Amino acid sequence: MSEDKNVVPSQREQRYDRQLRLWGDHGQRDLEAAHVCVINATTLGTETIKNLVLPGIGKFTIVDPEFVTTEDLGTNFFFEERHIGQPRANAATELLLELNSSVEGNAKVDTMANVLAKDPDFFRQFSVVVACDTPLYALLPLATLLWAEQIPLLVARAYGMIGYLRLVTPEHTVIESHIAAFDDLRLTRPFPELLAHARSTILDDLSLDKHSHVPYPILVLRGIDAWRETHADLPRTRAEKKEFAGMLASWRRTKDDGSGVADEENFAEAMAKCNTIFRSAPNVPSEIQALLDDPKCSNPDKSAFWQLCNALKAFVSVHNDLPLSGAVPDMHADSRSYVALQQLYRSKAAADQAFIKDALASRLPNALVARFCKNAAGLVVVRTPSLETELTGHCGKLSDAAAMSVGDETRAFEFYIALRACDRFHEKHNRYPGTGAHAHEEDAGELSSMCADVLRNAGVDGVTIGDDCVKEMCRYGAAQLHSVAAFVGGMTSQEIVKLVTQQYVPANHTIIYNGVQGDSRTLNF
Amino acid sequence: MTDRTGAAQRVLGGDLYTRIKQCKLLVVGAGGIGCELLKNVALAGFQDIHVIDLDTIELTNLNRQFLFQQQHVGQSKAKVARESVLRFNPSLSITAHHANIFEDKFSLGFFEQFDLVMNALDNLKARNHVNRMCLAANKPLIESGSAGYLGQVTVISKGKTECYECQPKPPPKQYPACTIRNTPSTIVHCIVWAKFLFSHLYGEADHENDVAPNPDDPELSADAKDSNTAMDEKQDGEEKRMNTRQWAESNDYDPQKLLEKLFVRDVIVLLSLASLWKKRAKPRVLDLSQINTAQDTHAKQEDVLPDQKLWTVQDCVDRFLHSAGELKKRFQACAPGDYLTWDKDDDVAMDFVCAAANLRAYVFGIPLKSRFDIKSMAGNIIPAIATTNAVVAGLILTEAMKVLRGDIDSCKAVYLSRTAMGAGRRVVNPVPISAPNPKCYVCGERAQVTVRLDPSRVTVETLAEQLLKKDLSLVAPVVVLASGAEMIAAPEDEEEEHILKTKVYPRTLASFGIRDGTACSVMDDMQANFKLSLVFRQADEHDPDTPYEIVADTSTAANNDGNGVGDGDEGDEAERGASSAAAEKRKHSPSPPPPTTTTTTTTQDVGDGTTTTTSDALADKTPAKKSKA
Repeated sequence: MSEDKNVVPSQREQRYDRQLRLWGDHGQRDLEAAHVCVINATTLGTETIKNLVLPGIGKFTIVDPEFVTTEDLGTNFFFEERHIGQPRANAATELLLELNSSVEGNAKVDTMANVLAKDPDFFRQFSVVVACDTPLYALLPLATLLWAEQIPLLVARAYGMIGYLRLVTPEHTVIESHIAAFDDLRLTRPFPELLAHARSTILDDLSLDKHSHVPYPILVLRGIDAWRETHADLPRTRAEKKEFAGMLASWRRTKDDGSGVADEENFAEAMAKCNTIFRSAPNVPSEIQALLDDPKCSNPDKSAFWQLCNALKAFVSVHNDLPLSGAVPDMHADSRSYVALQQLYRSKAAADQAFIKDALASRLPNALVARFCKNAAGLVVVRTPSLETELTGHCGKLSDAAAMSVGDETRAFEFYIALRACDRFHEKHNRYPGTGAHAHEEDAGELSSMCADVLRNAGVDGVTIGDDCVKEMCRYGAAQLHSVAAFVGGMTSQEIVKLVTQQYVPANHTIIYNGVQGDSRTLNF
Repeated sequence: MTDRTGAAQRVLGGDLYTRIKQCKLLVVGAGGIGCELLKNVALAGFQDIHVIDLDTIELTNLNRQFLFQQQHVGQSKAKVARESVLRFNPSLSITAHHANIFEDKFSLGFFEQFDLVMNALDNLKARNHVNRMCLAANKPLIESGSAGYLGQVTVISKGKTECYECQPKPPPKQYPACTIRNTPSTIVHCIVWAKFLFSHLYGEADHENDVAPNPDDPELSADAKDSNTAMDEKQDGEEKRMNTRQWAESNDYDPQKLLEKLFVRDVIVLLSLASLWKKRAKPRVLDLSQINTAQDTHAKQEDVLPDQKLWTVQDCVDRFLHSAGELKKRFQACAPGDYLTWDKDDDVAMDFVCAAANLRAYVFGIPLKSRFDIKSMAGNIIPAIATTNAVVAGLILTEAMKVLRGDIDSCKAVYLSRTAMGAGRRVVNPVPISAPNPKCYVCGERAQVTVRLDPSRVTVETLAEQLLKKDLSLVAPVVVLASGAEMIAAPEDEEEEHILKTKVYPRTLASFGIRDGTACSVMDDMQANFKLSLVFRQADEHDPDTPYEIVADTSTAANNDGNGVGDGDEGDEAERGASSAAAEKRKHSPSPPPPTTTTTTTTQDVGDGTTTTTSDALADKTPAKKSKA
């Protein structure tokens, strides 16, 4: 073997080593294939891009009509004195690209509305679009287009001490949710090969060494056989589980010198696992059943996720169970019996994967099918309301959100409404409250009544927005504080990574960050 | 309001803005969180900033430490960070210290010049030290950490909040030397052994820290004579008297010979210790003629990175020979007295440990692991990403504003959740900071530690190196007896140090009159105002594996409050112990802890939790007189 590429990690692997440990090589490839559009190179915009360029996003495109000012220099790290008067999109692209030579970046010096009017296809090329520090009403046309294309839109804002992040997507599907699950060993419903393997193990015939290295799943399966001789059902109650563990304990050998019970760690392991092994849970978790009952599952669109769910539904109707994950956790065992057990689980998992593959209407990569089967217990679909519904509809759930936030010290709901009112103010006056030549006290009264309008239009009764919240919003005058923008930028880029890698579950759907307290709330309405 | 600070002044208010401007700030660490933090403080309006970091920039830093670029690899983090921030705003005053926080120049007086200190560290030892210095100087400290998607920020203010050490941290997991040398049963044991092997062969000469079969295994005591006889038969006289280092020296570090000794001859010796294998599967001797069939290839390995492929046994043999050959060249090129240190990001050193650990695993019937996985365990790698560090650094600023407003009471310990699913769930999870623990031996009024041991068997060395330096994190311990005499004095120069180590260290505690109930005062020459009372209790028996037991520390309650760990950087747990004679004296091998973080539920309604690792990363990257492997 020479110094070949098979052994030594590449520069790329080294550079991304610390994150590959979180999302894997396939996650990294998804990230490298992604093209993110960022509308407005505000501090929030550049912070977000920075956090994507570092881990190696494929491409970014900045759309921004503005030019660098002195005030920008005070909050945005990606502008220098020499950039004053230049387009923000160009300056930011130049400095951000210095951070990672494998990333591609483009700048478009124009307003989002102009680009949309001239060339609607422009926005269809992106994996995700992030609109930074833009009023919601101005986003409606873009949001409608992206909604139809199923391209996720993130709306991010750093407004004084308040941070805001909203995910807008008709649907986002997650195969690898990384939701911690119990080990999938099927001990209470063993597949035939597993049961046969367990039954071929005659504990009494084993030497003490072998006896103390029988993997615990075999002990449990042998235990269940013995249990069934005297019990109709598996152990369910606490007392029964205890009784079962006691039975296993009685099977331990005495030491060779007869000086008491041998210290057999495999038995200790089996006894400790009794509680989780015999917990009562349906074969198919209710969240997954809900997915299988979704109309899209029976009539899948072209997405791999729903095609796979359709095949999964066929699998469940035959097996009344999910495909086996195939993973066997570390346990006390000698390597021969551990490997034998691992082989059994692996071949069953492979057979389940083969079933799913055959049931698929169209061919999908093996690795994807395998990942889907492995994570079948943790599949997630995220659906958010559209921006249009939020802005124009009577949203019944908004009343619930209001009711839920009574007594909330972060006052997230109030700040959310106040932010909506600021947009309304902006729509009317073409400036935010507290900006320009106007003293902020002057604007507060109008903003306060606009808050009431927003609530009324949304059908929320019996809620008022505190004067102090309104005054704070006016005092901010839409100014951006770096530390708040840095926080929201971190959160936004984190959500983008989740979206493009389809790993981990994105927040659904509005996050309000209170930068005075350093606390946040998620609103879902 | 049109100058660069307009927005900050407006949002923060003039008063707070002025305080920020006048605040002299110390940032300790310019790594993952440190880079984000330096940017944030520069843009928040801080004008006078000091930054300390002893590290140099590595390729694996660049996925998150945005003040550094490819062309900076190998340069000082502190200095490059300073230059990058100044490029953005040349009018700031930034002082960069490319130095170890434990150096004398960072005295109490140094700390006293600051108004606020922010930690962006990656290891427990340095965190403990800065905690003590800030308590002594009575300066507020903002402490932070991150690990993967998890992170946390908290504030420490003397007398108002708990300090960093008010709650004991879970100790690093340790393995008995006999498990490592004779009877490994997990891949972790094999990795610890392989790292020991590296230091033993190429590290600082340390003739006590052997990796060879150990005839002093307590399991052998019943038939000890038999086993010694058995070992005699398998080893010729010369080999028996030499440890592995001496053996390697006398064989010119020949890779092929080394391979045969470690995986053939030493295994035969182990097999001769028959009583070890009564209840265990016997190891197998590596048969070099039989392994070139690829019998160890596991399931299909498509769709994985090269680094994640599982090596075959033949690959391991090839890699072992190749890396041992490289290391031989490097080691023999060292100046006299110089040696190599293990570094997970050095490919040759990593290959050596990966190959040796896997070969040992093969010998003991333990499933092999990929280089990627072994690197995680051997290097104590904590996953680190830009996004989490950005969020954490943002939160640090929020807490800093509260401190500067003089509102310590509103400060919170903030934990970062991994997900925020569903209504009401939080992305960040602030909890009130606990009050100081009155029994804390660091910040408590009457700090006291009680230790149970046998004074006639325990040496001053164990007390100083293990209990005081390692367990209680003292830097330069001074121990004064009730009579006023100094049992341990902080050496002022090399001669005093020599006397301490050769004349005082070997003595037992009993020889200084210590017996059941004796109390003495402990101070730290490096940590001003640190003082505790140490009370000795007589132990019933003496176990060389655990020569002492701390009975009444601060509090003995298990604590899951979590103390964020990395800074998005990572430390190197085993580096510290692998070359430490004291660790071996105690018959404990520090081990690389699992790389995962565990998530525990706080008392809050949202249970996404707090981070705590099984062990903190203790990066002892003292730059002095070591040449990197």
